[in-house]
Order: sequence, then C-alpha cells, then structure tokens
Amino acid sequence: MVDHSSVAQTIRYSHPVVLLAALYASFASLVRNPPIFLLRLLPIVAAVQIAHASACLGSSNNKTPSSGGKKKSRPATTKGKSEVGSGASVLPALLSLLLAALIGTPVMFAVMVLLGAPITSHLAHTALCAAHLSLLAGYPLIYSYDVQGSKWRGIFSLSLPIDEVYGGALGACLGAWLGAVPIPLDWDREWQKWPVTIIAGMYAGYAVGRLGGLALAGRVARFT
Amino acid sequence: MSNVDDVFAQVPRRTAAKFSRNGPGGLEGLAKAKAAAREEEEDRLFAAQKSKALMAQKQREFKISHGLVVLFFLWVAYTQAVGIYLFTTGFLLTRLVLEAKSDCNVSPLVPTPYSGGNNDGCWHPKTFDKAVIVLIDALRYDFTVPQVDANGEPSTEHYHNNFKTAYEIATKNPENAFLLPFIADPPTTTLQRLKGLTTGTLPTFMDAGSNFAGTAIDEDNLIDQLNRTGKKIAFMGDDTWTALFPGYFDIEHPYESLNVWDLHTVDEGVLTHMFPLLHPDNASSWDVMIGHFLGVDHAGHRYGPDHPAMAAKQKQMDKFVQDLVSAVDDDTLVVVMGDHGMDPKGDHGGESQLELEAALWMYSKKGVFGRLPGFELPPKNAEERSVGQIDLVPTLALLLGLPVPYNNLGGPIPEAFIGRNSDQWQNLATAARLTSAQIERYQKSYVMAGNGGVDVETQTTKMWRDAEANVKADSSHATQEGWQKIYKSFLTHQKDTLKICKDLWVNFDLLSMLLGIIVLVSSVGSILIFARGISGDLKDLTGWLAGRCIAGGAAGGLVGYLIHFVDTSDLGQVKLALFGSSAGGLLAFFASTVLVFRPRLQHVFPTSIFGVLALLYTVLQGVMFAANSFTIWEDRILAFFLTSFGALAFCMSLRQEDPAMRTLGASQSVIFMLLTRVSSLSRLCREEQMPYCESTYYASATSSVSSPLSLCLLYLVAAALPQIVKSYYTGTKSYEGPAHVYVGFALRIGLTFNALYWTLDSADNGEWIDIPPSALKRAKHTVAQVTLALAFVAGNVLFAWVQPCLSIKVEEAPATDDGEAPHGGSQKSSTAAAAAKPPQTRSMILLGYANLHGSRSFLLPLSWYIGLALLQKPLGGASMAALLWQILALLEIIDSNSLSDSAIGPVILAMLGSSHYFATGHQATLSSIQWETVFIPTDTIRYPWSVLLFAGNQFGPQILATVALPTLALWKQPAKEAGLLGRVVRVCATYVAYHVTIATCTVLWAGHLRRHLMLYRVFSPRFMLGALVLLVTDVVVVAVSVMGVRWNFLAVGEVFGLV
Repeated sequence: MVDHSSVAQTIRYSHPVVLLAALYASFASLVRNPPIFLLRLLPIVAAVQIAHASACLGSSNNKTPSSGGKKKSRPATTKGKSEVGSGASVLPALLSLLLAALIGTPVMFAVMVLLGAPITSHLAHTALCAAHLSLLAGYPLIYSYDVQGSKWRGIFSLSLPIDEVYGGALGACLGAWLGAVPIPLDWDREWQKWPVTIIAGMYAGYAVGRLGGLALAGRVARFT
Repeated sequence: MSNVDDVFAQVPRRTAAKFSRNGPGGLEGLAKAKAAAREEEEDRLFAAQKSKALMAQKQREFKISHGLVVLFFLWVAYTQAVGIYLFTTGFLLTRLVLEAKSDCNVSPLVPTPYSGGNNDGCWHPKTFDKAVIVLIDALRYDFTVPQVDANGEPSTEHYHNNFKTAYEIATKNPENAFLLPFIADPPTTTLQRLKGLTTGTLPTFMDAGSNFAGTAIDEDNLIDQLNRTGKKIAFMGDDTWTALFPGYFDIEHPYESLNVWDLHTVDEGVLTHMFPLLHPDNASSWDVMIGHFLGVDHAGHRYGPDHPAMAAKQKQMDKFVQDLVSAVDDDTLVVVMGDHGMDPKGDHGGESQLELEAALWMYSKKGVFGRLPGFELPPKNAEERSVGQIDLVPTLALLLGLPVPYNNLGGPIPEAFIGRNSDQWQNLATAARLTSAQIERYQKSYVMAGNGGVDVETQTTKMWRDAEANVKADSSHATQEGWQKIYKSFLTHQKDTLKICKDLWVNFDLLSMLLGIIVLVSSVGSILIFARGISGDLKDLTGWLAGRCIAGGAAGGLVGYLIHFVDTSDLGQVKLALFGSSAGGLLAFFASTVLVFRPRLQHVFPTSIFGVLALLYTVLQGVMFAANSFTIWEDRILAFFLTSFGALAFCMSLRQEDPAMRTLGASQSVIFMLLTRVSSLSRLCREEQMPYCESTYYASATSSVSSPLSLCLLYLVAAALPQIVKSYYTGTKSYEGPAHVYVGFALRIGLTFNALYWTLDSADNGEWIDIPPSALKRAKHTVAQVTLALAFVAGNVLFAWVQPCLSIKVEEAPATDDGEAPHGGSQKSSTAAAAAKPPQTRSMILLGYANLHGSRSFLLPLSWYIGLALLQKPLGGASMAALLWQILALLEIIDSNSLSDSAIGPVILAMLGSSHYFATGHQATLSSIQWETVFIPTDTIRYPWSVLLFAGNQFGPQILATVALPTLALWKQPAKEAGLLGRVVRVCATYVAYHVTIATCTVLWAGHLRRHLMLYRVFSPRFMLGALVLLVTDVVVVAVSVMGVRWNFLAVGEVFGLV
C-alpha cells in the first residue's frame, strides 16, 4: 500500500510538519476569528491531504499492503486509474473528499456535540472543526479503505493494524479529545475559546499519530 | 428437582457454556441426570426431604457469609466516617450560637452608671433618633478616596475618582462626616458580611445552632434590637436581607440579588423607594431605613472594576450620596458603607486585602463627629488606619440608644463618640467600657455554654479587671489623659478578646486534620487492595477479614483511649479512641492481607483498557479538584468523561464476534451517549460559571419555579419509561412475575402520581385553578405521601417477599422439535426450552432464566427511583428517568462486553450518580441546596423525616446509583455460578473505593489549600459534598445494596437451590 519512491517519502515526512507549520504560522488569526479562518484553511488542508494521499497512498490498491491482511478490492470505477500513478488518481481522491465531507463531517459533528460541544451557539465553529477532523482523520481512511464494511468495523473497533493513515486518524481524534482539557481553566486567554484548543490538539495529534504510525506500523492494539 | 436441572443443561449461549463448566449440567450431566431421574421416581419423597435439609443447610451458610459481608462493609463505613469526622472537626470550625439577647433594662455594668429609659437611650444616652443606613455592595475603600497615578496625576482608571462627595464632606466639614477603611472579616460574601455587620461577631463557615432552613439569623443583632425597642424599619434592596431577617421590616422592597448581569434593577428600586420616604411627610413611617445597592458589585462581577460601566455606577452612587445628604433632616444619622471590596477581577469571597477593604462613611447634619489626634484627614489606605466592620455594631447601637447586641465583639468607633472638638474622652471611654462589659458577659456565657477553653476566660477576665480598676481609681477626678488611658485599657481588652476568638474560630486544628487524612488515605489503600488487589472469590475471605479488622479496631480504640491519660496534646479521649480504633482496624487489615493472603495478592494496576480507563477517570477527577476552575466546571467534565466512555464502549462493542452482542453493545453505547448529552442540558449554573453558562433548571434565571414544559416532560416520562424498562426485561423474557407488579403497575402509577404532584404544585404556585389553596395543598401532600409509601414502604417490603421474575410455559410442540433446538440457535435467545416429560407432545419453557438474578435485583432500584424522582423538581425527575435508563444501558454494555469483573462498571455508575447530581439542579455550593423540597409531602418539619427527605433530594442520583449497584454484578449472570456473592462484594468494594478516593482528594485539597482565595467558595463546599456523598453512599451500600442482595439470593435459592 505504501509508495516508497523518494518523492513519496519526502511528502510523507514533510506533510504533517507542513500542516503543523501552517497552523502555527496562522494561529493568531485562528484565535481572532475561528470560523472565518477555519473556512479559509479548509481548501488548503484539503489540497495538502489530496496531494499526500495521491502521492503516498495512491498505489495502495494494487500492491500487497505491507502491514498485511488488507484486501485489494476497490470499486471498479477507480481501479484502472490508480495504476496510472498519482497524477491520474484524481477521481478517487475527489470521491473520497466528497465522502469525507458528506458523511465524515456530520458524524464528527454529532460526536463533538455528544461530547459537549455547544448546541445552541457556535454551530459554524463546531461544523468547521468537524470538517477539519474529517479531512485529517477521515479522508485518508476513506481514500485507503473506501467503503469496505469489515475494514471500517476494524477502524471503529480500534483493531486495525497501525499504519500512517490509521495512526494519524487515531492521533487526530485523541488530540482533539485532549484539546478540550484547557478550556475550563480560568486563565482568561483568548485561545481558550471554542474550538481553538480542539483544532490545535487535533493537528498536533495528527502529526504525532502520523509519524508514530510510521514507527509502529503493523502493530494491533490489543487491549486485553 | 432433576427435571429442573435438565432445564439448565439446555440454556443456550454463554450461559450454557459457563454452566457446563461449573454446574451439574453438560451433556454427560444431562444423561446421568435423566437416568437418575427415572431411578429416583420411586423414592421421590425421600429425595425431597433430603434436598430440603440440604437447602436449609445452604441457606444457613449463605446467611452467615452474607452477614459477615455486611459486617465488613460496616467496618469500612465506620473507618471512613471516623476519617471524615476527624478532619472535619479540625477543618470546619464551628461557633456556638448563643441565643441570649441584650435587654434594654439590663446594663452589663453593675452598678450601672447611667439609667435612661427607652426614650433617651438604653445603656448610654442616644445621639440620633433616626438613621439611614446605605450599603453599597463591594464599595472598596480606594473607590472613595482620591487616587493618583505614578506621575502624581489623578488616576484615570475607571474605578477611581468617581465617588467623591463622601471624601469632600469629610475633609471640609470634619464635624459632619468621617470616612474610614472598613475591614471585613473573611469570608467576604454578602450573606456572611451582613451577619457580621448586624451581629458584631465573626462568621465561621458553619455556625452551630443555626436552624434547619439555614439563613435566618437567630443571634442577637441590631435589627432585632431595633424591633424590640419599637423602631420602625424600612428596607429596600438586596433580598438577602429579607432572607436573614424575615418579618422584621415594616416596609420592605426586596429585589432578586443573584442575577449579576443585571446592573440596574436593584439600584433603581432602592432609589425609587428611598427618596419618597425621606420626604418630611413620611417621616413618621420609619425610624431606620436600610438600602442595599448591588450595581457596583455586579459591575465588578460582570465587567471587572476597570470598565466604563463601573465608572457610571460609581458616579450614580456619588449622585445618590449628594441627593441623600440634601434630603435628610438634622436628627438623622447617615451611614454609607461597603460590605466588602473586590479583587482585581471584580470578584470577592476570599481574604485578599482588596476584598477585605471596604469603606465606611458616617454623616450627620448635627456635627457631632471628631477625630483621633493625628488622623484629621481620611486615611490614604487601610495601613494608615482602619476600623473593623464589627465595630459598626456597638457604634450604631450606642448612637441610636440601643443595647449592644449580646454576641458583639466589636468596639465603638472613636470618631463617633469623641465629640466635634475631639475632646470628649469621657464619652468615648464610657462607650468603650459598656461595650467591653457586654463582651465580657458574652465570654462568660460562651464558656458556660460548654465551648471554648478555660484559658480564654482567665485571659480576658484579667484584662477586664485591670481596666475596671483604672476606672475605679480615676473616675471621680479624671482628666482628659485619665479617660484616654481608661479608653486605651478597654480598647486592649476588646482587641485581645477578638484575637482570642479569632484563634478559636478561624484557626485550623492541624493535628485533627492530619489524623483524619491519615485514616482516609489508609482507608483508600485498604479498600483498593480489597476490591482490586485480591484474586479469587471474595466471599469467604470477607468474613475472615471482618473479624480481624473489628478485633483490631477494638484493640486500637482501647489503646487510643488509654493514651489520652498520658497524652499532652489537647485531642481529647473521644478523638484519640476514634483514631485508635480506625488505625487498629486498618493495621489489622494490612497485616492480614500481606501476611495471610500473600499468594492471592495481585497487582492493583489494571491491564485491560477499561480497567485503565476506570483508574484514569478516578485519578483525573481526584486531581482536578486541586484546580478551582476544574472544580467549578465539574458538571461538564463529568458529562465529557461519560460520553467518552460511551464512545469507547461503542468502539469496543464492535469487536464482539457475535453479531447480536455487537449490535446490543453498540446500540446501548449510543443510547448511553445520547442520554448523557441530553441530561447534561439540565443544569443550574453556579455564580462562578457566569457568563459561560445558562441555567435551564428553572423557568427563568430569576425564579426557582419550574417551567410548564418540564411538567410535560414528566408526563412523557410516565408514559414512556415503563415501556423502556420493560424492553430491557423482555429481551431476556424476564418480564414475568413480579416484574409485572413493579414495572407494569407500580412504576406507571408512581410516575403518574409524580407528574400529578408537580402539576398540583405548579397550580398552587401559579394559581392556575380556582381551588382553595388549603384543599390544593392537602391534595398534593396526599399524592406525595402515597407515592413515597408506594416507593419506600411497599417497594422494599415486597422486594423481600417476591419470587424471581420467572414463568414456566408449557407448550404443545411438534414431536420433531425435541428440546435440542435451542442449542443450535445462535441468536441471543434467552428462552430456556426444556425437554418436557413427554417429549413428543409437550415442552416446558422456562422464561426469564437468562437474567434470573439481575431482573429481580433491579426491582429494588426501580421502586427507589419512584420515590427519589418525586423528591426532585420536574426537570430533575426527568433527569432521574434518564439516569435509570442510562443504568440499564450500562448494564447491557457491561454484559455484552463481558466487563462484570472490571472496575469500569462501578466507576461509571458512580460517575453517573455524580453527573445527575448536577442535572438535578444541584451544585457544589451551599446556595444550590433545595431546602424547599423537604415540604413535598408535609407542611411541617419533622425529624428525622425531613432530614431523610432532604438527603433524598440532595443525593437522590447518587442514592439511586448505589441501590442499582449489586445489579451490576448480577445482570444476566448465570444463576448457579459459584462466587456470585463474591462478585457483588467486589463490585460494591470498587464503588466504595471510587467514592472514598474522590472524598479523600477533596479533603486533601481543601486541607492543603486552606489559605486559598477560593476556599470558602470552591474547595470547602466541594469537600463537604465529597464527604457527605461518601457517608451517604456508605450507608446505602450497607443498608440497601448489600442487604437487598440477601433477599435476592434467598429468593432465587428457594427455587433453584443455593450454590
């Protein structure tokens, strides 16, 4: 599943760093007006994610996955094109993006609201936050596993072998969860407002998870 | 019997698997039993007798081991209660409230040097007939004196140099006014300050002797004295006054005080009502007028001091002072003061200097005020010179010709007595002498009332005698210097008495606190080792441990008692014996576990993800109480944790291979998350959560009545909840026998009555229908009494008698279907189909066997729920329904993920209880206590019922969770599995371990942060909540949860035999 060409390797390692750097550089404007900023950042992150997926995960359908046990089947519509290489895998990339936006975002939004996100206000904040999480965690998963039921059961039951995609997704979710911790503190900082800490935790967690996923590739969380 | 055994052999799914491992089932067992059954046909009678004897034997054995379990939990509860008691006596300082009142005709001085009547002043000639007392909440001293910045220019902060009139008059016409820093005694909250300002005594966190309803002052105070001397009081402003002094005011215009977002309503109200009364035409309608402005305080809370709104408020107050000065007549004393200051963020409650420094301004047109030498101008700050807030009490009393309130500890303010030429030292000394005499009288009564130490009496009495000796020596030919010296000696007496009382009432007893902490921390260790650190069946070991611990406790108690004979510390024999007994028991516990059970000891740290989560949640909550902001937001954090658990349970349920279990676990996890989120919408915000929180518990932020919408919710609950509960029973075909009575009948009736009660209550409050209030009241009390009787009397008594939720169905079955079918069925069918006696034609089906223990033991929380829900306000009743549903979902999650041995079940159950504590409109603050709920079934306070009702309201969710605790170990467990009682013990111990950890953490933080700014507002109330929840939990665990298990096992054993 993994493309080991040097370009792909470069993108693979630089991609989380680029995302973190982008967030860090524009942190002040995120704090100033979260929804506007998140909306503006969305296409950029989408582009970065598509680039990463196309370059590093693009050939995943045809090679035997390094971490073992993964089915190769992909829907017929995308099968032919993925062989052509990263440049031609636009359609699956866009389809995955569509799925992430249409299914991933509402699901993430629901989970965030369940976990305590405000219901009566800040809806745009939460929705955009969910969209970002969906882009970071959901999009690469959809791109890699499209809609295979068994895989998604494995994803949700935390029993899939770790790789960069799954590690990144878990990291982003865990990071977003931990991002809620500083909100109630009485430090009176501007950045404590919703959902700045969630976004920061999400991106940091994603970067850590991505790199950690590379390091721990193939392990399965057992939780006896 | 054998036929029944055959039935067990065919119980499908996991139950069968477990059963064949443990019980006499299995295929071989089945064959043998069948053969034996035929052989036994002849001497069935003999066999029956034999089994009866065996049954009696087993019942005896069970009762003994169950009794020992109860004993063990009693010991645990005792140890924890002692720990809490020891800490509390050192931490929560109480002051004895003496109810004696000063009498106008009984001067504390014998012989009395002055005898006036009511008209001239009681103990001392009065100076004024009338007074206008104005309290500007949070009027800090630096707001009232000119402030300059670093360059010497007038300060441009929004909170400086706006309130000028007071300073100007005090400077220009010193005989008309004086302005002084006015130091509050912490806690600097308005309620405690008003107590101090009217009684003249020091508030402690809890004043022993205060009445059940909490607020009304029953100590002697200025307002009471004004009433007794027949003065008419007019009041307007903050409604805390009317809560403290109900029925004392002849004219009153109270306004809601807690809405800190409203800067103007109270102030406008005071202004509207005050000036008409000041008009000469209305002069006879009042003698003393009290006004309490809140705008400055609210501006501070809302915006902080440095905000234009604060400047506007202060200017408005300045204008008010100008108007007031021109409106009053010559015989009226004007007092303008703050009750406390505010910290840099505009809040108060703690003991920082800015919070303590209020301002006091006294004004009169008479021109009777003077100055102490060297203090001609108002002091720049409190370091230069200040007076205490309690000093106002004797000052006002003597100026208005009242007796000094009995409990007063303040002294007269010299400026008010020294005369316009500052030379009336005799007057000042006389006032000081009178005040000292009253203080001395109070000290004597206090010692006699049984509190305090002997040394207090001797110390102050000696000073009093010295001062009196000065008077006797000099009074006949006293000079100014002589009177000055006399004044000084009485001043010393007052100051030293105050200091001694402060030490007595304000200092912590660190030794008691330490002993309490030692006991509690060891108790956490012991229960943790017991619950999680010992492998195998806990049942047999519990009894043995109980004996050791109690013996150790008795020995320790004796040693502790003996030590007090040689002990030099002032702990006293009771505390030493208590500490000795708990330490002895704990030592016995640790020694026994380490020496005797070493092979069974296992690592306390969990290895499974849910075990880790349980530990993590407990530790995180314990740690977060160290931070006031986390403590303030505890409700949200709990909901966050609980939903996170639901999410993880969802993920882990998907791992199940069996699709039915997978669906069950996942769907229940989703239900659990949804219910957690929905019930977290019901909340009552505490002051500190503002402005990020909106209360939903009551109809509006300014009322404590429920909205009609929440009544509709109650009817919805009454209609839907029985169906929901039923669905959890029908899943295992357990909706049989008593389940019909409890769910189908009692729950329906109880919930309908609950809704009916609150409808009647709303009708009563809102005057919806035209029925005489007394009839309405009687009707609603009857409904409440019936419901409570149904829940707590009928429900409990019935629980001891009812059969398990079982039914036997005999079915005509085709000959081919021969009782083997259930084995093949992969579905989660819980019907136990039996090979019937004539297998070709009929089959016997045992309904409800799969959840034999669980379905019966859940009847107890069901009936308790009915009663506890009634005690909550309507929205709270709905929240309790959500809690019940969540408990059921949790039971299914635990069962479908095979977590009945994990610590996560009890921990989540306990957190559910805590979470719904907040959802039922409670907070870890004293002000959120819903006192009025003790009047649900009756009009009067009756002990001990009122206390129980109060506990049922205050801790209802926790109690319900505790009552449901044993079900956690029993839900869908195979009925004949060995060690089931041991599992119940483990679950209960884990639950207690969670609560004692939380309580110990709150104790540790409260003790550690005892000088923290937020002690009285955050840490101390949270400690009290933690301690009370622990005690209530302990009691309910022993008396209800563990005791209920006894009837459950006996009832099941009667049918199937005990294991």
